[in-house]
Amino acid sequence: MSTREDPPRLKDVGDLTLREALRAARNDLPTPAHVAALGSALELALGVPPSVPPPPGLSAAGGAATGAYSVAGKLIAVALVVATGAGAVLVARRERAPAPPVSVTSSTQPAERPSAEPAGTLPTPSAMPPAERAEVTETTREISPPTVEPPSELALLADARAALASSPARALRILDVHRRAYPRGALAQEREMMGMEALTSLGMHGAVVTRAERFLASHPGSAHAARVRVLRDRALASADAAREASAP
Amino acid sequence: MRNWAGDRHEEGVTLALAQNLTAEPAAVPEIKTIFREHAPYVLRLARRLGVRDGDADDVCQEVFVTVHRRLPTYEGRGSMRSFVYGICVRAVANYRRKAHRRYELGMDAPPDVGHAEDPGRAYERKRSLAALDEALATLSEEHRAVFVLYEIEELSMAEVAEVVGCPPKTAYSRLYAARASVSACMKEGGRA
Repeated sequence: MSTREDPPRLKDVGDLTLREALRAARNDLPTPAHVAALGSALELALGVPPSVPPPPGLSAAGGAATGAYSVAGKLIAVALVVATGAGAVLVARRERAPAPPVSVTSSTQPAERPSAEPAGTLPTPSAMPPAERAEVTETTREISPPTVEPPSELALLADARAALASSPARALRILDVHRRAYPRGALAQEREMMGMEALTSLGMHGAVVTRAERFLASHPGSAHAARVRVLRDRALASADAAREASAP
Repeated sequence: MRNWAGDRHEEGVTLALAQNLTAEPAAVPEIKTIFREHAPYVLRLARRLGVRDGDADDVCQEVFVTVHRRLPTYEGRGSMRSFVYGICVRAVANYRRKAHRRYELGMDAPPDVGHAEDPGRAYERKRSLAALDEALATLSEEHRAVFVLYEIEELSMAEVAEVVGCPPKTAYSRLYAARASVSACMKEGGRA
């Protein structure tokens, strides 16, 4: 916005070198991927609850991290019940409480069912023999609400953990998906921990300290408290070291 | 729902600037919306105000954390961009005080924004940007803020004065002084 009193800008009236420099400065914008990573990190740092509940399959969560989840949707949720065994089932149950008791060791779930196989390699119910499909369907009916469910907390955090070393920004996006789907999930503390680790990897020390202080205030007796203190102290030390290194 | 960092809407920002100062307070947008509309420009502003690339993300995050915290005090009578930029200018000043050692000690390589850009042109662009940053580094904090806000961020002078918190006349005098200094530096650099 410009008013009549404003002088002409140098990009219009300056000499050629200056005009080019100002144009370069004007175009010096971050890439969308950079901003996306920053947005995920900020969202995590603020702990802002999602303004709109994620639609079925999390298809609206956006970003590369969510693509696979939205595509697989219900089938993965069903497969994960089988793949991750009682642990994942219990996690799922805690998210949906209160509900009638569930027999997670149902006889319809064979003990020899593979438990460590990646979800993506599991047979989908439609690809299973009819008898087995019926077993899965029965098990799912017992433990799942009628709506489409996102991947389990466990699966999301496992993916985030896998991404942490190579791409902390991607890990943050996955953690963001988890936060949207399970804002008060059973693994919320683990999510926060991993978020701090990802922020540490990204060198966002201020955010780490903020998150750590908030975590310690909210969960003083947490089993993760010691690790959080380490992360916080390390972030403070890194900030101090950087300040020392650059001191004149 | 798009990511916070969805497509940039510079037009939207311009429209936001059109909010009249005397208008009825508008509904305060959500932090996600504010981030989506302003984050790229906050990063740009922070860099031109002297924040090194390695620190720009932290400063940007600090800005939006502060925006989030101060949203209840935003009455919607000024433009959101002025509100955000004001916080950014203060965050950078704070950064300079806390991290005086980092300020203008050198520059990280500008981010690669032109993936398909001709190498020769990319080199010229980076050199041009580096020359501008060198010239900006000669300015005082106050002069630099006014120059960057007016010449690069293209705020109106009224908004510049509002953002930096000085009378309009002072903003004008800072702008003219900064222009003279930057022009002289750029010419000197061009001759070197």
